[in-house]
Amino acid sequence: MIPVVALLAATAWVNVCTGDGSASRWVVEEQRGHAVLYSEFSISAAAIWQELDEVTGLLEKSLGIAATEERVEIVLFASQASYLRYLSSGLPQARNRRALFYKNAGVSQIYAWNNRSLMTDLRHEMVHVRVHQHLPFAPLWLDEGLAECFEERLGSRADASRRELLRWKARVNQVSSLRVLERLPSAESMDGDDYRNSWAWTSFLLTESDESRRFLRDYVAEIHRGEAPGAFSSWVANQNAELLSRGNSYFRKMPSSLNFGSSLNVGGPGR
Amino acid sequence: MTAISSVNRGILTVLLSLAVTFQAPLAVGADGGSVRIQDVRLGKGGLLTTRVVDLQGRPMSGQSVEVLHRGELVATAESGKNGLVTIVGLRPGQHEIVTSSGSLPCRFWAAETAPPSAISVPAVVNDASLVRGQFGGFNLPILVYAGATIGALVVGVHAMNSADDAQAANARLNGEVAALEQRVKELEPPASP
Repeated sequence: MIPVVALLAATAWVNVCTGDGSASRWVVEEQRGHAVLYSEFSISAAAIWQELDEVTGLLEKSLGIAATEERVEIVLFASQASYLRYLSSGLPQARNRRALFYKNAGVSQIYAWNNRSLMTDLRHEMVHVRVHQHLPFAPLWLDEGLAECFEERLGSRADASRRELLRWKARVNQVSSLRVLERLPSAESMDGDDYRNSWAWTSFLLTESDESRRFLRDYVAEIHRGEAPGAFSSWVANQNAELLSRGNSYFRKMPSSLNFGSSLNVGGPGR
Repeated sequence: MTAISSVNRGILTVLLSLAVTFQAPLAVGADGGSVRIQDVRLGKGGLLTTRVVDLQGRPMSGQSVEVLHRGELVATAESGKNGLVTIVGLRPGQHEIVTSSGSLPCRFWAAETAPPSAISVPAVVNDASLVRGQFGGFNLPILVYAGATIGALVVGVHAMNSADDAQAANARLNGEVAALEQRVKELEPPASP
């Protein structure tokens, strides 16, 4: 009798830990177009779709990165513990990441857990989804740079401290060059500085001038066509040798509010 | 019998629960979207030039490349410098360029009949799956490193402060010794002439 009780207690404990006591662990399960949302906790699916639609629109408007009909699965966990338990065996990278984007066989998945930055995390990962739906590959600095640029809602970008730190680093010439970022071996090797520098260079290309944005747009279009244009720094140097040398000057005077939206030409230094 | 059934049911439930606990990410559905077919312009003599790259678009040399037509192998080659591969004698039609961890469905065209969207040097990504993450979360090595750094700073600052205090105490004692020496000198009787 005692072993039976012990087993039942263990079962109950495991069920409590996994949240699998019921038939389905998902409190919210909603499909919209080619995307499906699963959530362990109650959350407004409409609010999530609205945020993700905005990201999709911004990417299309700024760089012509278009959504495809590939399936997207968004999986939300009630806690970090639940998120880690679910992913620890399949995606050990989750341990060091607040949210994850995973793509395999044409299906994109976003994993995140309920925290104060959940919407930011979802927007960040949705950028990866759209970038990798549109492109067969993407340089890490551009992939993460775009995710950092578009992870906050328009008009509520509370990244003043990141911008201020960048200005100071630029003044003492401590912002990594694009060539250094292009040598990053993997996403796992990136630290906070690498993310910030990727954001800085992507912001520069998106907002410094019509010319800088056109170069980035053309580069993205070339990858989308199926070619491998090589590193952006070398590719752009063949067309404009001095474009990237304007980066540090831009970083020193980086405007307090960048607008990647309706008018992409807003917010450059000196404007 | 009932007890045995309960035990079995309990064991089964525990095993199932553990399986759920350590499950892999959600199974990938079959509806992964339509597969894009790349139009490729062949050179003279049915020349295919392709480039093997990683998920960042960086060239990969020394990679084995196969060209399949209706699932049958028609050519093999290895990527050289800059990830480039050249194969001659290919014919127009639907093919697949395959590497160890990736593939690219293609439609080969003769130069004269290729559509404007066809490209001459298609890139084959030699990677099957992709993971990206939002920076943040629990990172034990960074926490240990940060803790050690803060600890070293605290110990260093404390040591500097202690050294400063010791130096100040030493200076104060030296002053007192000097004052006592002066006092002793004053109390000593003058040397007799």
